[in-house]
Amino acid sequence: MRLTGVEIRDFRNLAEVEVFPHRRFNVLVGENGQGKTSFLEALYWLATLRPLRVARPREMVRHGADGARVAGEVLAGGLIHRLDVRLAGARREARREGKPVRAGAYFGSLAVILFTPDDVGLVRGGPGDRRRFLDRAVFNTRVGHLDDAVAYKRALQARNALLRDGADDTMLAAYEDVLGDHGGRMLASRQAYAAALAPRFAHAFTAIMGEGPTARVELRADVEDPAALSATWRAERDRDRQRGFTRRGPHADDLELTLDGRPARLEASQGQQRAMVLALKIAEIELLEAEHQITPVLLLDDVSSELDPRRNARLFEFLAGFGGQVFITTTDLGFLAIEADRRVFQVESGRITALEE
Amino acid sequence: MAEADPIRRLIHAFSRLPGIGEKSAARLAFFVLDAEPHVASELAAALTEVRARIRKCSLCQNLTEQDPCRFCADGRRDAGLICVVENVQGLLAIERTGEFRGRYHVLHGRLSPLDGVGPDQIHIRELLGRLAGVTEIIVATSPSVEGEATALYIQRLAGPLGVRVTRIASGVPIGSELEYADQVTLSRALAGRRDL
Ligand SMILES: [Zn+2]
Repeated sequence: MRLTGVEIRDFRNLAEVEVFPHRRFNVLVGENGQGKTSFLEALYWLATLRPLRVARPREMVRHGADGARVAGEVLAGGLIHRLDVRLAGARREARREGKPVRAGAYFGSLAVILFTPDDVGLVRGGPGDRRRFLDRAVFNTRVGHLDDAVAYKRALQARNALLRDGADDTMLAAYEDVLGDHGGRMLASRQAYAAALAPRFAHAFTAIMGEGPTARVELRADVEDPAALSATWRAERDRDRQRGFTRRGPHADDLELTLDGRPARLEASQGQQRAMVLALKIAEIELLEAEHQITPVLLLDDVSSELDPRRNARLFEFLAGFGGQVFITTTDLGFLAIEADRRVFQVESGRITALEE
Repeated sequence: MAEADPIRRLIHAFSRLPGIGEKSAARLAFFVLDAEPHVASELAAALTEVRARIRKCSLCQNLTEQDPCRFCADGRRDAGLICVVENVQGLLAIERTGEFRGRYHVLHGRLSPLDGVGPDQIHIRELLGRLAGVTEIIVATSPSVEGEATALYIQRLAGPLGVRVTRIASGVPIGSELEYADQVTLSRALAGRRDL
């Protein structure tokens, strides 16, 4: 799938933008703070309905404006779909073909994968960052995963409230059943996804680094058998009452990254960490294409400046082989090894203009 | 010009209604003030009357003028079958299908520990108190986390008493083409599939 047109109003520092992207490479060049990242954020919002980098959706609206709007034309399977998301006050409305639709009907219309310098948190950060990466990746392949994750989180908060309120066993058991239903599906999806991701990740890492340590990714599930979740919570009930929260379950899972068997968080050098992140994303994209016949749109935010020449070269090698559409921001065209099949856009003070080439 | 107190009180009263914010409340209040006098008096009378004459049925908690309500009083309806709904709108939706000939039980809510709603707030005790002679409870709560937990809670209490507890299926609306059902609805329908 790819974007054939993008229209933005009052999103961050972008007052009014209209862009007709190239089917392959779209390079946004400009100084920092001019709106390059805002443009990628707008596309990310259009695809996922999730704000990036802001605590409250309201912060996406340009200073002094009433609301924000991002619209896009997506070419997928030979058909053009019109997507449109707007924020007015606290109200967000997503439309498909001009008609307001629920998130469930909207998702899947546009798949994006984002690369940012912050991604290195995947290796260095806590399990929560990796679970978020995993769940977002699973969601791209199974829309119901989000539904399960949201329901699981809500039921977990409810069980924790019950634990603190001294609720009886019957009440707790009812919530454990709900948790087991959503958590069981969530866990099974994570396991299947991580198993499919693992070989592609190891391969991509070796391709980037050459000879050297072996990298692995593996789901460390807190409870390994989805069918055993309810029994685990039942067995932990009294201890959980003392703790005041639910200790075990998929919310304690980790997507473990290791280098020669040792935690990458502690062992990996800067360069190895960046290579791992790159390998994770490449594996994710390959998996989407190979097993789900989805070619996502890639959004790369100023990643070249973070990579050494060798890994940068490997990234562009991958992009050259990737047939889909790419949006990439940079402060300097010289960082990018993209000469053909491209459109270059100048970004300055919130205005985006295509350069004649 | 300072607003007179009664106007502010009316705006405040409207703003407590579900789905009404401050702005809409003010619009409603000024509409009432600008309209013919009988609009306000009819509204006031209807509001007073509904509170004075409508109460909860002592058996099923449905809102009714007569106690027991027309469903509980109807001897042709199967007293061995109870459909549990969250609210009166749910009861009316089931009733419109014309398929259900049993009795109802209206919870007026659903379990929600995060909002401080427990079993005592939603007429669960009244439900358990009327299970003599009941063979099946059909739980028709919403497919939300709270609706599911409410259904499972009822199942855990009523099941051991020898009552069969069932849950309405959630999924693809009848008559709608599969390709038009949204993906979340479809994935739920798949997760809740049954043997044929
Ligand atoms: Zn009744």
